Amino acid sequence: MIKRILIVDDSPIIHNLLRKTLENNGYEVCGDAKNGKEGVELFNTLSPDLVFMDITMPIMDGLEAAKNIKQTSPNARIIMLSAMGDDEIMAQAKEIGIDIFLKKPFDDYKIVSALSKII
Amino acid sequence: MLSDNYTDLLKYFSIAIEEVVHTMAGFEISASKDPSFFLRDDSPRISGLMLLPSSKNAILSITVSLESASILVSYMTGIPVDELKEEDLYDGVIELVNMIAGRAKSLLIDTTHSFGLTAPFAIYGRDYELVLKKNVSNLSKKYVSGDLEIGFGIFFM
Repeated sequence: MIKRILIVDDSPIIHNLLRKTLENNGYEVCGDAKNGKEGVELFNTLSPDLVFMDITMPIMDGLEAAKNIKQTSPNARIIMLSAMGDDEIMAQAKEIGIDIFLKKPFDDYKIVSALSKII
Repeated sequence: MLSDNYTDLLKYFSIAIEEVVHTMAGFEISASKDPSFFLRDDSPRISGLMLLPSSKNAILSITVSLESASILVSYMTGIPVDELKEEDLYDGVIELVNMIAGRAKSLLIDTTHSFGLTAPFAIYGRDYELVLKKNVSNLSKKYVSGDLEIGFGIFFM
């Protein structure tokens, strides 16, 4: 069964980049959100197999959105994306229950590798 | 004149820019022998910028021609050059400067260089240059790969 992925990032470039890699590797991108609030709403509507979530976004950041999702769906699988990746942020992500923290820049191999560890 | 300490900073930012461009777009870039920071021509260009707050505040800048931006973004996303919109190019350059700053910050974690990251932004136009006051220290380099040119600079405030 094809795995369905939700992408939550305020950068259209990251959406395009991830979509290209995911679709080339047999995954389905079931939704795109531009901020954490949209991401939470789409997660509840679409029930994806996994979420790619950026951290720094307007309206609601990724950590807040991930916390929201995990409260209602503790088994939700989330890969966090960030250009920063400092210890404090990674510690917060771990506490929320984020599966994998993927630092930008990432290539196809890193994306697919991260996915295969979880779904 | 900047101390050796800041020359060291340039080294890590150089690693970051080379790594980010290679990982995201597949290009091997190298420092140009041309010492001028400015791009070859006066065609429209995009500068991605980020303020780096620190004990010595700085602005990070990446400048590319529209053509170079199109090539980079096309390789990053798989979207053919002629299907790219202008906002794709701005977003691509902004994302590149974001990643370069983030990567450099990670590389510098065990050094004395520490800075914050802020929201990146871009400026776009034809025939503009970044003009500095006389005593503003800066680290700058141009990177090339074939016809691709990337002007890189850190300007200390």
